[in-house]
Formats: sequence, C-alpha cells, structure tokens
Amino acid sequence: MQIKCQDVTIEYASVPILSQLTFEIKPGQFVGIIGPNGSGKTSLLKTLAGLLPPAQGGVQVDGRPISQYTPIELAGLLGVVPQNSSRVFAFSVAEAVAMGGYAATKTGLHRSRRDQEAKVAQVLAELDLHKLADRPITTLSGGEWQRVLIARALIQEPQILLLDEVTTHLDIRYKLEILEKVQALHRDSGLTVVAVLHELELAAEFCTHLMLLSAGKIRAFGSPAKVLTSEIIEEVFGVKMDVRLDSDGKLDLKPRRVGIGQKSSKSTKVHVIGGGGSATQLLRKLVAAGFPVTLGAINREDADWEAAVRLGLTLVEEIPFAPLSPRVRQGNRRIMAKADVIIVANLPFGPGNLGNLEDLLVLVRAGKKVILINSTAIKDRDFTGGQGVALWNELVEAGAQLVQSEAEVLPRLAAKE
Amino acid sequence: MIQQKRRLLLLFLAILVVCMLLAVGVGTITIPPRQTVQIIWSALSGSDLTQFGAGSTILLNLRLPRVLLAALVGAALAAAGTAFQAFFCNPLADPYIVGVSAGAALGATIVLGFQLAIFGSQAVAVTVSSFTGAVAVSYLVYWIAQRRAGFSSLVLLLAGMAVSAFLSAVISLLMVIKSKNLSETVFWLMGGLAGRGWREVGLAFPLVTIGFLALWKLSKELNLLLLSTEEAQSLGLDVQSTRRKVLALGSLLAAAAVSVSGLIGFVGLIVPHLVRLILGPDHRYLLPGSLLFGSILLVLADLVARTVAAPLELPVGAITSLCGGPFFLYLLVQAKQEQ
Repeated sequence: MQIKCQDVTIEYASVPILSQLTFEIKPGQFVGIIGPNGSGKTSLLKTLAGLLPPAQGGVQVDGRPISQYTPIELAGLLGVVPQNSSRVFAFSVAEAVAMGGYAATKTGLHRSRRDQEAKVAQVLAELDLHKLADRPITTLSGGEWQRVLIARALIQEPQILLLDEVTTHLDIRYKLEILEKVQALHRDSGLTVVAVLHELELAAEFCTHLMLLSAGKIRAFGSPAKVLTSEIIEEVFGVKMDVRLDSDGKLDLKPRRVGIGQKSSKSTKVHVIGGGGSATQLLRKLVAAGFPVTLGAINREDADWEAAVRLGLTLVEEIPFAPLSPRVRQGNRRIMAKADVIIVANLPFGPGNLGNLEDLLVLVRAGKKVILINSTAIKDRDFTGGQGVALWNELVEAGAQLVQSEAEVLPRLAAKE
Repeated sequence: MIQQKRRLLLLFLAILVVCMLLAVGVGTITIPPRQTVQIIWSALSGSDLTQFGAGSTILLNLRLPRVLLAALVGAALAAAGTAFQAFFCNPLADPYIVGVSAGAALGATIVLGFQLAIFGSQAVAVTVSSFTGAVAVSYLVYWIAQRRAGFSSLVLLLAGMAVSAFLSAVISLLMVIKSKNLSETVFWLMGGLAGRGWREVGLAFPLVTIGFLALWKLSKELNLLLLSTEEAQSLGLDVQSTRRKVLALGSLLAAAAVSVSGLIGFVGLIVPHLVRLILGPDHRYLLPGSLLFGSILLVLADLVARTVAAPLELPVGAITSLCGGPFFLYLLVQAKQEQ
C-alpha cells in the first residue's frame, strides 16, 4: 500500500499553502511530517487522507486516484487520528472505539458483529483502555482521549495510519507512550505510518523518514540524519541546534538558546569597552556567534549596560554618570587580563571614561590582542581636549589593530578561533 | 450495559401502556382499566359491545383515538428532535429549527383563514396543507443552505430563522385580514388534540412508523454525525448523503406531528435530552427511548389538558411549554454548575 502525490497544490480559502508537491510514501515507512507553524503539515495530512481535495494535481492510493474511492473503501485502508477532537456527547469509551468499525461492519461482508466485539475488546486491552471501557468520553483526560482516538483508528484495521499532531498537547510521558505504541505497530505488523509531528526530537527518535515542509515546498525528504542537519534546521526554523549522530544511528538534537543566558560555544574570551549604545549591536552579534563576552568598565543605566544585562553578561559597572573610580578600574583590569581579545567600540571619550584607555594601553604593551573600531574618526569623538587622541595613537603604535567598521570584527575573531 | 439499556426500554414501554390505560379511563365518565381492556378486547375480537353501555362508544370513538394520537405525536416530535440534534451536532436543536413549524403554521392559517376544505372536510385540509407547508419550507431552507459554497449547518440554522420570521409575519397579516376566523387559527397554533379522532390517527400512523423505522436504521450513521465532519468521513460515512436523509426523515416526522396537532413545543427539545441522560447518546437505544418517552409525556400532558379545567380544555402545547420551559432552564443551570 503506497501513497503517491503528483504535482499536488493545496489551497485554503483560495490561498495556496503548498504547491507542486511530488513524492511517494512507500509501504512500511514511518514518515514524520515536520515544519514550522503554518507550513501546511496538517493540510497535507488531510489531503493524504482524502479529506481535503487538492486544488491541482492528484493523490493516488495503491495506484488508484483517491477521489475514486468511496468513504467506506477508504476507511478500510486509511486510519486517521485527529488532534484532540471535540467531545460533546457522552459516549462510553467502548462505544467511541467501536465507531471505528463502522466501515467494516456496514457492508457486513468482512466483519460479523461477534468479530467486531472481539476486535474492540482486543484493541482496548492493547492500548490499556479496558479499565476505562464504560467511562463517558467527556470525563477523560487529554491523554486518555487521544489513546481512544488511536484505538478507534486501529479498529478500522487500516494499512496506513495517519496521525495529526497527536502528541502536541500531551505530557512527555504520554507523548512517548503513544509514539512507542505506534512504533510497535509499525514494527510488528508492518503498518505504514504518516505522522505530523511538532517536536523535532521526537520525529528524529521515532520516524524512519522525515518530510520537512517550508515556504510551501518540501525542503527535504529522507532519513532523519539527512533532513535534520544543523544547516537545514537553522535555515527553516531560525534556531541553532547541535546535531549529533549517536553510535546506534540515532540523532541527538540539542537546541541552543536564542539569546538570554546562552551558553557559549566558542573559546575565545572577548571583552568589550563600550558606552552610549555604541556596543549594543556588537554585543548581540558576539553572543549570537557564541563568544563568551564581558563588558566594562561602564556606568549603570547606559544603553550598552542595559543590553549587556539583558544578554546576561558579566560586566564591570560604575554608578550612573560618575567618572570611573580607582576601585572599578582595578576590577576592569582584572577582567580584561583574562580576555583573549579586547574590542573597543566606536564610543565617545570624555574625562569620565578615559581611564579605560589608560588601563588598556598597559595591556597592549604587555602583548594583549586589541581591536579598535574607528568608524568615526577618533578626533571627532574625543571630548578630553586631545588626551583621548593621544592615547588612541599610542595604542595603535603599541600594536592594537584598527578596523574601519564593526562588520570587520567577527571575521577577525573567527580567524583567531 | 446493553442488557441494562434493553431493560430500561422495556420499562419505558410498560410505563407507556399503563399511562395510556389510565388516560383512556379518565374523563367525565370514568372507565376502570380492567373494563378498558375488556372493551378493547371485545372490539378487536368482534364481540358484542352493548353490555358495556355508553362507555364503550366514548372509549372507542373518542378517548382511544385521542390517546393514540397523543402517543404518536409525542413519539414523532421526540424522534424528530433526536434527529435534528444529531444533524446539528447540538443537544439544543429542536424539530422546529429548520422552519418546519413556520411552514406548517402558514399552511394551517391559509386553510383556516380562507375556510378551505378537502373532501368537504376542513380538518383534512388543515392536515394536508400544514404537512405540505412543513415539508416545503424545510426543503426551501435546506436548498438555501446548500446553495452557498457546499453545505453549512450554521447557514441552515440562520436560513431557518430568517424564513421562520418571514412566514410568521405573513401569518400575522393573514390573521388580521381574515380576523373572522382568528380564534380557530390561534387555537391551532397553540397546539392541541381536541376533537381529533381515528382519521388523524390513520394519517399520522404510517408517516410516524415509516419515519421512525428509517431513522432507527440509520442509528450508526447518526452516531457518527455527532463527530466532526472530517472524522465521520474518515471512518467511512458518506456525510452529505446521510445529512440529507436525516433532514428528510426529521422533517417528515415533525411535519406529521404538526399537521395533526398544531404546534406543540419543547417535547422535541427536552425528551432526547433527558433520555440521553438515562440511556446515553447511542442512537440504537436513544431513538426508541425518545420515542417511548415522548409518547408518555404527551399522553400525560394531554390528560392534564383535558381534565384539569374540565369542561374547559387547555391547549396541550401550552401545558408542555409551561412545564418544559422552566425544566429546560433548570437543566441548563445544572449543566453550567457541572462544568
């Protein structure tokens, strides 16, 4: 039993969601459909289930167009498990599960009433629902109800099981329980499974194949290792993930935090001297690139101070608007000494913060690597009556590197790394 | 569970029989249940009825057909209510929701207002005309709902309300223009079984029987209709065709009831609701349960209507609404507290 899609375009309210998809799901595969929110995962599943006719192209089940099947025929081939559907009427669990036998008992050909009852009892036991058999479905928890919906689909004895985000609202324990159950069915009875999954980690763990949807297309389709590379994940989801292939062939995915309190991945320690918002962008870029970053010395409430606090950085601070005190400068020297690279942002200098440059000069002379950003000429941002310019020139002479823009900083750091 | 449900259904049937025996016995002349059974037995076996005196004539020609009709109307309204609640997937739907009542009322108003008759009988004309009106309007409403981008039960609901409001206005105008026959029309609209006899039983019986059996045969389909459309379809149900059948049968049952009894409110709304609490939502049991319970309710309501203020007769529709309204509110408040 296979499903084939040829140039399938799916629209919702005349707006195309997915266009020109061509692929084939082969018997015995456990395919996970993944992708960002709104990428059309559920719509694609509905199209595969024959519930949402494609605007263009065709879906074939076992070589025959899906539109040519009657609902009863299709129900015998495809079992669909919706995501936490509504429960208005208080059917018992056994009654709700038995509804899956509608198609099989309707024609009266392939299943007698006795067989149906036996089948219901068997599936209830299989999914650990037999104790709940007489409970009204309106009193079940989300996890129990989701298992009832799976049991109902299994009563259909389908060749292909289609699952729509069945784990999304469940506790981690139920997520695993349900996917393990489905995996066992896939493994033991050769059931083909197509599952829309939200969590990449679970998709990688359970599926034999993954289909990644993005921007109305299939971005990648193949084994989890082929689809879930850190490049593709960053491109589609906009996050960095550490992807490792375990010795047993399993993918190990670890998402990196998007910003705050991020754990650094690079070893080069970077110290930044900023002020007045001149270093805000730079701090963000350095953190995003994975460098361990420190800042100082800087006055509290300064724009750069705020940015550093938001990013959770270590910093050396002075009270607002006060000149740097000897004690603060001492702290800053200690922290600068630990840094591998010190970057001086394109900040203005006045009598209050000139101490930073004086302390820096000592370090440069001792061989510390320093990058000076000079997008605005130093004489235009020196408000100390020439002392700043003099120190700046001494720094350059002592071996500090001069760059003309912030953009040049990261490549230089990367080269060092 | 299933055994228990079957037993409950038998209990309902027993209660209905007792209620009917009681109802035919009570009136200006009291006939004890034992004698009632004897009279009916004699009539069925063709024996001499003179020994029972006037009692037998009253029983056989007046009370028995009326009680039977009450049972039929109650059964039809309750079964129709069950069908519409499944159709709309909403336990608060009722048989009049798709314009059945408005259509029937217009049909009856036209006949009563213009004093029309069929085969020389105005009663037959009222029945035929209200039945035609009920079926015609429910189809008109369905056709409107169907025309707009497939089918939507919300559009059906709105169309039903709009058409009902429009027809109510037409009825009001007719009643003003033909105010000579106003009281008759008003009394019909309030719903009642006064003066109905074997002729109405003969009209309603086949319609109710056929309608109910066809609906009962669709029990599993009705169960699936209570799921979402996509779920029902993926389980193998031809949703559109099932909806059409259920709407047709529900309208037929409601029209059959309305055409012989006028507008009797709340039976179709409350009975399935209550029976669902006792027997659960499975239509294989819910439908016969509602049928029996609806019969019991209307037989008793009609008994109250004709005895409580005798010799004055109250419209039975007023009795059911009088009791049904507060009771339904009680259920709503109860349900809210449970949530």
